[in-house]
Order: sequence, then structure tokens, then C-alpha cells
Amino acid sequence: MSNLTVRSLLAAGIFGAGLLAGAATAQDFNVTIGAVGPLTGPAANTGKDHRQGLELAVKEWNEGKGDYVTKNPPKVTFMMEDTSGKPEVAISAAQRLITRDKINMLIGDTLHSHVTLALMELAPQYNLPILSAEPVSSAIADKVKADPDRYQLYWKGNWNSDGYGTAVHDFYTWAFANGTVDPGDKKIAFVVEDTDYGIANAEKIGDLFKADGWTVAATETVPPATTDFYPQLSKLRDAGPDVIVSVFTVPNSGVAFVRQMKEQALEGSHLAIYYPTKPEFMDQAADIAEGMYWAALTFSSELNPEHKAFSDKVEAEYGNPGTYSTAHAYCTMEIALRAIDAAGSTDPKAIAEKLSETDYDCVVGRAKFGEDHAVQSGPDFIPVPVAQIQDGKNQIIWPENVATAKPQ
Amino acid sequence: MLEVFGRHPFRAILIWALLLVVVPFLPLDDYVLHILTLFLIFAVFATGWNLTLGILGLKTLGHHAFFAIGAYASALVSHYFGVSPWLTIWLGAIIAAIAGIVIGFPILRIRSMPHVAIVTLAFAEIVRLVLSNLKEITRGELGFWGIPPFDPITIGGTTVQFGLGNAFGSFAVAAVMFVGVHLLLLMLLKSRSGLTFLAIRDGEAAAESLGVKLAAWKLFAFGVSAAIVGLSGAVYAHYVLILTPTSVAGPDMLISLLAMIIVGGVGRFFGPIYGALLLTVSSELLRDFGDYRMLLYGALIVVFVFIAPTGLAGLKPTSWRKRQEAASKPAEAT
Amino acid sequence: MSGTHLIETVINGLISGSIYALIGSGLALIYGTTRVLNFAHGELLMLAGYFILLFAVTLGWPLILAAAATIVLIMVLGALLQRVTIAPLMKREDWAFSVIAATIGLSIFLQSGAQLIWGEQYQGVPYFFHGVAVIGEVRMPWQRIAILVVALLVMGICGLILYRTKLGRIVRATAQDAEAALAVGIPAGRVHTIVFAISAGLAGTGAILLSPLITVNPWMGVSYLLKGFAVVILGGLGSFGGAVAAGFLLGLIESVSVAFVPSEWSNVIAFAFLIAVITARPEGLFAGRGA
Repeated sequence: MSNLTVRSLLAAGIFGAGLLAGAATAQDFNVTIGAVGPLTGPAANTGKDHRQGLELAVKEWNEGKGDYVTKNPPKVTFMMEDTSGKPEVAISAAQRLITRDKINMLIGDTLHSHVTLALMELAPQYNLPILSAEPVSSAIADKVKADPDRYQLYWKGNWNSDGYGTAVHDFYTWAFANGTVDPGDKKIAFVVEDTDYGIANAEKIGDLFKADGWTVAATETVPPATTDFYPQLSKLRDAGPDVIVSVFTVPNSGVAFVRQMKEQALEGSHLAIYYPTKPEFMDQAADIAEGMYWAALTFSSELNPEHKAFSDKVEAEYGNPGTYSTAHAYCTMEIALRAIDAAGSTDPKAIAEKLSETDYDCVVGRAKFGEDHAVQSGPDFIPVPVAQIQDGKNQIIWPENVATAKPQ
Repeated sequence: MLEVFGRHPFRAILIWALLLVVVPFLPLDDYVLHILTLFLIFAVFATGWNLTLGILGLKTLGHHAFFAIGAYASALVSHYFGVSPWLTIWLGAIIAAIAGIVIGFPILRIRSMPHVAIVTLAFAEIVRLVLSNLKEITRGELGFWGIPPFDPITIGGTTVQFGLGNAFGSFAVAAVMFVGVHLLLLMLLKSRSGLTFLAIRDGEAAAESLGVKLAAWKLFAFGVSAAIVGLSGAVYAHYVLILTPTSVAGPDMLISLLAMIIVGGVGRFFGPIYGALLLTVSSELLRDFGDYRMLLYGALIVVFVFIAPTGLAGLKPTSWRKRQEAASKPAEAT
Repeated sequence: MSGTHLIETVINGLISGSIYALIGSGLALIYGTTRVLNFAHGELLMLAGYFILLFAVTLGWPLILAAAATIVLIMVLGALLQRVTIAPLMKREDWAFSVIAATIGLSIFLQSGAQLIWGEQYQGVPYFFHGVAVIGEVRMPWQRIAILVVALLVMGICGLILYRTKLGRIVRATAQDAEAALAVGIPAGRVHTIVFAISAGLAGTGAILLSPLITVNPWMGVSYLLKGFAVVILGGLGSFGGAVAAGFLLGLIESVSVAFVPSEWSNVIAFAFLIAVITARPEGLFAGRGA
């Protein structure tokens, strides 16, 4: 332990050396992995998907069905704690895992970027490898880049939010070039939820479009789970943007937004980010969302046989179909397990070293970390495809090499 | 008097201080110290709020705003201007106190409890929204990180570190604040001014007729209360090292603290401490039942209001105390 | 700002205002007669949301029947809430704060309870009224127009009951002086229960109108509660008519502020307006007769 405090020194003096819990490197090579994620609160559904994905990977690993690196893979103990989506609760939970359960590695946060920003501080503090799962905020990667030495044990299991921005921008450049979408007066507007996710996306896309000579007509931020967009839509109609980008993580915000846009007969091209990935959205809005573009169709049982197989596997185990979140969590755990396996020990530095060398094809794509410790996105890595809803079904329309249909 | 402070308040603080000195020598792991640190911070918060809510009798519902103001003020100044947190926490407390006095003005114009409750609640909501909207400065809900921990202190060759992961140092800071705030506050309340506070609660008209300048006293009390809460917020900020507007100024914070005060005993000097201890520890024990945590808080508030309105602090006195109270009741009636 | 935008801004303001008025006038009615601030009022709205979801969607009842069942059920719950939790506390010396604390606890308890029972998903309710009214450039779906019309109708009926019937006179008499009312043979306790039921019915109406737009979830009452309280204060504590007027005013303030500043500041403006009003006119903007 790097932080031998006065307390532990005193404790050692009084109660004897027996209290100093050392790094017990057992002969048979067991590892304990902890995870923290939102198991309660508004994001609990996603958190529960994460738990299923993580547990499934561990179960297969322990049953001899894992994708091992060496012949002598470790036995894995896994436990997950709740964060309620709050940084301070996550810190308490992680501390309990670290000091009570003596975990060798932490997967966390499984969803929230703001929680991850707090958790990553524990990596240098407790000399613990930490791998976050779904968080995307570029702020995390910026933090790593600012002090790579401090965060050498922290790794980010998802691409940076710029990934969306780049994809959305590149898609529209392509669509303008081939006449699918008319750039008009080159005005873009955003309606996003007030989370790191929504805001980071709006900023990144706005910057890329501005560089091409566009103006940002409006950026409207609404509290998460908002469902009345009439004031914002009236304003947008007045501003007359040619491209509207909406970002919500709560599917019902998306359903309401799409319906109200249709009621208001807003012109201009609409691209949605994230919420159409949720099955609830397609259930409620497939008909009203006809023709809408969205990013990113990263998981689709209908279009991708590999995803279908994974979803069925989850269904067989837990009785509900797998989602992108289940698949992503599964892959995150797989990456963690393979790194530990390759390292051959629970030494934090060795695990981090092996994590950095990761190049692994998993169900959501090819995972390879960049300089900033974040998984890379793009056609060669984890793809960020743009989809369109055609005849009530999702079709990938961009990039062309993976497209399943032409844009309509 | 006896009712508010218990029988030997200074002795009680001494016992708390001794207990806190002993804790680091016990074979406790970092996790337990972390929980105790949170308890100490929230106990100070609850005591600060109890000053207006219970001891002064002003039913404010927006003190989590002062916690947020203290936390963000100290965090922002230390981050952007490189000032040591040892100094900025006082700045956080002062800014919270100023905010308290500013919001105190409209409150003093009105005597009706509903007005006070709603205005303070709306004020807290404004603070939360402003912190969340000033993204250029606070990063909004993305979370404000990069808050420096307290600078290390070297005593006789041993360096004490602070901030998350440095359990001993953080516990020590929280413990010093806990004992200091309670001791100073007790001295204040036991002095002449303290008697004024109690007089205001027990009967405004009577206090006024005694020549107490009500408005000035209330403002002063409001300022002190906000300063204490702001100080606890600032220490919290330099401990957890990340702040989001919802986590410090959201409704959950209001409910948790209100539950601590009500469970501990509204208007009892030591009540909030018991409440904070019970709820901080039990919510950790119930971590595996996370879904039930707020359910429990809600139920505890209802149950204590109905069955034990004086809270844990009021449970101890048995028959002899009841008789004394009964004897003094007629004098209190308004 | 174009003419269309201006007209839409006003209509949007009136629509959200009508919901604030429904919630706020219910709270004002309770406050007027019992001097109680009911912090669990938002959860009555939430529960009514789940009832309409159950009756109209899960069980597939016709709208009128589902709405009637929801309103009756929520009125009974409102009455029960008053009988079981608030009435016993009213006998205490420190009842004002006890009631606030107890209803805050109850509110959190009901929210978490609803989350445990129905889950944390946001559940959609289909539109009851279909189609979009198009007048020139202005487009407004009938569902939204229905909110305004039904809310006005329901509040109108409540107003008639309060000011034109015997029950209304009794309620207003109790509001003015509960002891005097008791002396002339009006049972204040029963009147309080009736007032809670009416106020729950108003919140239930709001929930039925809102559910297709805002989706049903355990937290749906939270944001409306604070707005409702703001309406009560702006309208002059306890004034039914004042609360209705203040509800519309608050809706308009919000929608106009969204038109001029980014959306996230609209609530800051609304609450700052509230504090400014209280500082300048503690008795409210439309202070007049009680109840």
C-alpha cells in the first residue's frame, strides 16, 4: 500500500503486525474483481443490464468457457455495488470493495462519466487498476492526457464522446455531398438533456460544423426526462435550422420529442443520438419516427447475427434479451479478465501493462486503447454507424461499407 | 434550557472529543474511517441547520443551498486561484453566511412558516440550477473535479496527507471541525446571546417586549447557521474532491439531512449528531438494499414525527423529566 | 420573434399554466382551510398517473370510465391521507412543522414505494385525443388543447362549488374561523377531509391530462410540487382564484423566458420572480378573500 498512514503505523505498533493485510498472492491465482454502477435510481435499468453482462462473462470464464490468453487462467470472484448514479456514493462503495473485499481490479463506473471522473482518483490513491465501462465523456480522456503518469492504472472501456461528434459530422458531410440532405442556410440546432453526455455531444458537433462555415442557431438544454418540448420547438421553428440534433438518455424524452416535432411539422433534417438504441423507443415511436436518422446503431439483433446470438445467450440466462449495455459490459469484463490472465498475477502495473496491449474482437467491436487510455472508435475499431428508420425498421445507412440500406 | 442541551453539554462534548481521539487507534479499516468522516461532516451540517430549524424555530428548508455554496466557493477558489484549501474553507463559510443574510432579508419580512419554507426551498433550487447552468465555471452536472485536497502537514517527521484515500488525515480534519464547531456553538448558545435565541423561539412577542432586536438577532443567527453549513460543505468538497450540483444541492440532500435532524431531535443541541450517526451508518449497512434507502428515510421521518417528535435526543429523559416539563409548561405556552 | 412564435409562446404558457393552476389551486384550497402545506401533493398526482395507466392502458377501459375511476380513487386516497396522517398531527402544538415534516417523509416514502412497485421506467400513455389543429401557421395537437379546456372546466366547477353552493359556504366559513364554524354546527374535521379530497381530485385531473405528454414515473410529481407552492404564494396564500391566476402567470413567465434565454434558465427566472414578489408583496399578487 502506497499510502501508509500514521494511523496504520500506530495501529501496527499497538496491535501487532497481524493487522497489516498484505498483498496475499496465493499460489492458485485467484482474483477478485469489483464493479460499481447505478443499480438504483433513474438509470437502474441500464445498471442492471451491466450487471448481467459482467456476471455472464465471469460465469463463462469460471466454467471453462472463457476466451483465455494463457493455459492457467485465474479463478474469478466478482461483486457489484450500487452508486445510485452519485459520485460520493460511488466513492463509498468503491472504498468498501477495496478495503473490505480486497478487490484486485475495479470496473467502474459502468455508466456515468461524472462518477468515473471521481472514481479514477482512486487508481493512484489505492494502487488499483480501474477500467470504466460505458462512460464516454471526453473529459475523462482529457484528464488522463493531462497527467498520464498519475492515471497509468486507469483505462476507459468506451470511446470518447467525440466519437459521436465525428461520426455525425462525417455522415452529414457525406449526405450533403450526395444530395441526400440539403444543407440550406447552413444552420444547425441542438436540443439536448442537461448531462455531460448531452452537452459534450452538442459542443463537439457544433464545433465541427462551425469549422465548415455553419452557424449554431440554438442550443437548448433541458433537464433529464423532460417530455414537454413545445417551448423549445416553437423557438426552433422560428430559428429555422437545417439540421436538428437531439440527445437524450431517457427513451421517453426521445419519444415525446419526436412526436412533438412531427406535430409541429418542423422542417430540416433530424438526427437523434443514443435514445433510439433503447427498445422502448422503437416500441413506442417506430411509426412516428419514420425516416429519422440516428446514431449509433452499435447493437442490433435484427441486423447482426453475432448480436442476435449474444442477445439469445443473455435471454437463456436471465430471461430478458441482451442490449448494447449488456454486450458492452460483457466485453469490458472480457477485456479485464484477459489482461489479468495475460499478466499472470494481480500486480497492478502488470495488469495495466497488459490492458494497454489489448487488441480484442468482442461482440460490440474491436477494442484497442489509444494514447489517452480510451477505447478507439471508427470503422477499424468500434464502429459508430448512422441508422435510418425505414418502414418501421432500423437500417444502417452510413458508413457505406457496413450499410444495410440506402438512405431514403 | 435543560431540554435543549441535556444535563452536562460541555461534558458531552468532551466525551465526543475523547471518543474521536481514540478512534484512529482502533483496528479500523479505511472504509470505516471514511464512513465516520462522512458522519462527522453531516453532523456539522445538521447542527448548523438545526440552529435555525430547531433552536431558533425558523422552519427553513433550503440549507442544502448553503452546503453547496460553501463547497463550490471553496473548491472553485482553490482550483482557479491556487489558494490553499486551509484558507478557502473559511472563505466558503463566509460566502455561505453572506448568502444566508441576503436570503434572510425576505424571510424576516414574513412571519408565516409556509412562506419561509417555500422561499428557502425555491432559493435552494435557484442555487442548484445556477451551479448547474454556469458550465464554463463549474462544469455543471459533468462534475467539478480537480479540487485540491488539503495541503499535507508535517508533524515531527510524519507527514499527514488529506483527501480521498487518506483516511486518517481526512478523519482528523472532520473530527477537529466537529469538536470545534460544537464547542464554539455551545459557548455561544450558553452565553447571553444564546438565551436570546431561545427567547425568540419560545415567544417572539415576549422576546420583543424584552427589548430584543428581533430582526438583527434572526439575521445574525441565520448567518451563523449558514456559515456552519457552508464550512461543512467546504470540508466535504476537499474530501470527496468532486462536486455535482445535484449531489450537494439536490432534493436527496434535503431529505437525508431533514431525516437526520428529525430522527435525532429537532431543537435538541445534540440531536442532529445522533441522527447523523444513525442514518449515515445505517444507510451504509443497507447499501445492499439500495432501493430501500429512501423508503427507509421517508418512513423514519414519518414514524419519528408521529411517535417520537423529540427524536432520539428526547427519548432518554424518563418520568422525572416529564414531571419537570409538565411543571414548566404553563410558562412556555403562548 | 415572429407572430406565430409569439402566439405559440402564449398558448404554450397557458397550457403549462393550466396544469400549475390545477396543482396550485388544490394546494391553496388546503392551505386556505387548514393552514397545512401538503408536501405529498405531488405524489397524489403521481399515483393518479399510475391509476390512469392501469385503467386506460393495461385494462383498456374507455377513457371516461378510466378517468372517473382514477379521480374517485385519488379523492378517496386524498381523504385517507388527511384522516390518517394530517388530522392526528393537527392536535399538536407544533403541528405546522410536524405536518410539513411528515408530508415530506410521506412524499419520499411514496416515491420510493412507487419505484419498487412499478419500476423506474418512464411509462408512456397514448394520446387520448388525436390530430393537430392547424390555424394559419400555428399548429396545436388536440391533446394539448384539451389540457387547457378540461383544466378550465374543472377549475370552473370547483369555483362554482366554492362560491355558489352550501358546501362552498361551509368550506369558506371553516377557512375563516374553524372554531366559530364549529360553534354554529359545522364539523371542521369533516370539512378538512372534503377539502383534501377535492384537492386530490384536482391533482388527479392534472395527472390524467398530463400523462400522455410527460409519461408516468415515480418522480413525476416532484417538479410540479414546487411550482404548485410557488403558485400558492404568488396567488396569495389560500386564495383559490388567486392561485388559478398565478398558475397561468407562472406558465406564461416560463414560456416567455424560454423564448428569450436558453431553456435551462427558465426555472431560475420563475423562482427568482417568486422570491422578488415575496420580498415586495408578502401577501401575494392577487391577495383577496380567503379560500
